[in-house]
Amino acid sequence: MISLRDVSFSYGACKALDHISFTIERGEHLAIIGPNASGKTTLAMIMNSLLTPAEGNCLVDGVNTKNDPMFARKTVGMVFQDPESQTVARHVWDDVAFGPQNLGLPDEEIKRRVSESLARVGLDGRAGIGVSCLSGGQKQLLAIAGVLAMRPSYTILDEPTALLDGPGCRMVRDAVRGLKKSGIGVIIITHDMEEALLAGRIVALHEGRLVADMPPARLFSDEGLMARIGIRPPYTYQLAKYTGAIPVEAAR
Amino acid sequence: MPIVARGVSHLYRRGEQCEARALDGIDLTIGDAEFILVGGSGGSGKSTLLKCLSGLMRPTQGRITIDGSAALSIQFPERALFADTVLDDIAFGPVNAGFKKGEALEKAYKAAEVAGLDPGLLGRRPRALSHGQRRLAALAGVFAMKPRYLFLDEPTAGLDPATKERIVDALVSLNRHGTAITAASHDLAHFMPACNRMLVMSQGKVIFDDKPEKLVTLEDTVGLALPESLIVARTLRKMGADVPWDITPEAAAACFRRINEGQC
Repeated sequence: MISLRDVSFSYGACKALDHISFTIERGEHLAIIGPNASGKTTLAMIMNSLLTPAEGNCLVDGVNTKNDPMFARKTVGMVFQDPESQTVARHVWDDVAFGPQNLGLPDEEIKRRVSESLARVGLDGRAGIGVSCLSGGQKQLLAIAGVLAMRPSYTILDEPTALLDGPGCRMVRDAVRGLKKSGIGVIIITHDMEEALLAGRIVALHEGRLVADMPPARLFSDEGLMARIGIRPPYTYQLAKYTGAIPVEAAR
Repeated sequence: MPIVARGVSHLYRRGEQCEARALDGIDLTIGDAEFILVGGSGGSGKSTLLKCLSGLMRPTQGRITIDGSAALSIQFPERALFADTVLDDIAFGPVNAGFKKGEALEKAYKAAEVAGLDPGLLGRRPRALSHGQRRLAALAGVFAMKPRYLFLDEPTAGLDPATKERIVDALVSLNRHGTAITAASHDLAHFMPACNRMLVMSQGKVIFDDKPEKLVTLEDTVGLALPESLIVARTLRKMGADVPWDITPEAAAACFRRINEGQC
């Protein structure tokens, strides 16, 4: 379980997170939404200990990130928005092997982890090719495979589809479903409400504060709250609601 | 004078095992004051086309002629903010182009206004701004150069819907002031209603070049996944209803109801 307890964080005079508390279990699929500058990415960086809470605590599987930041970094993987900026090697295989190699694992174990991770995102068979020959969607899958090879218990994806086209988005969403099935806790940060609908639970942030922690259907039906934080429910969801012909749950 | 591309092709990693033809015999004319959306799947050649047309990259084959200044805004332009204050950053281009400090600052103020950037932010350090504000500041820096042609690569990626709308509004305003805009984007929902011409690329070729409304009427939308709002508008139009392309879900629902009741 990742447990945030009364976490606050500031960049100089600018308060990015203001007393945030929530938990996420392994195997859960959580979406974090909110306008730009609401604190989403800061929250993600707290969860995998790239940042330390100024106030409050973040516990990853019971271990406080203040006491053991390396534990959180190993346990919570992170995939970023830009597929171009998170590859480290020239070839697909070497890129996925980079993490396990850094852990000092034996060669056999590295081989096993790389093949398994590539297979799980559907990039097996592409191990030998150059990273530059992959499409944007495939590069994001490669980044996910790189995280999987580290055997994380949780994975945070920070707007993984913002730069992708339709097929690229589908590839990444299928991979995310696969992560969830394998028992990994998936935390997806997104502006795309259709993507947020896929999660079982949504945490909404606004000006650094947690303003909602509930299932998508309940959040999207709270029009006052949605308007206050400047979020619009997915088009299909609104259409279903206004026509009244389709039960709102069916929009999921 | 327009930008004219004739027989433009570009190869990446020429001679290597994974040689890729990013552009394949492009013939294109971009007229003054056009607002063009370039769509197409990842790897279809959109970014390469923008780099070649703006003069950042020389194509391996073909010829591009341009008369007037062009500017290119890359993906995530906010990463290139560097001055101590937002105002100095926006004014950097005009200062570099030889304008006196006072004139350059005047241009910077105007550009910030066109970009819809809150004047209260101009004295701040770029790092103190939010992601969306930094994007607007970076675009204001491009606007301050008053290019005749502006090329943008995914200008709304990673932003919330309100900031996306602000950026598209800023581009519409800049376009009205006489800058021809060419934007590559997957964000069809925001750009299709704003642009007056649309190109769709596939495997380095332009496979569609017409008004965006035309694309929506096609049965096969040349591989592009249309946003839900356009699909709904298209369905209603097919049913004989005269509805705008950017119809709201509420209005669409009301229209479906009228059609069901035989009033439409």
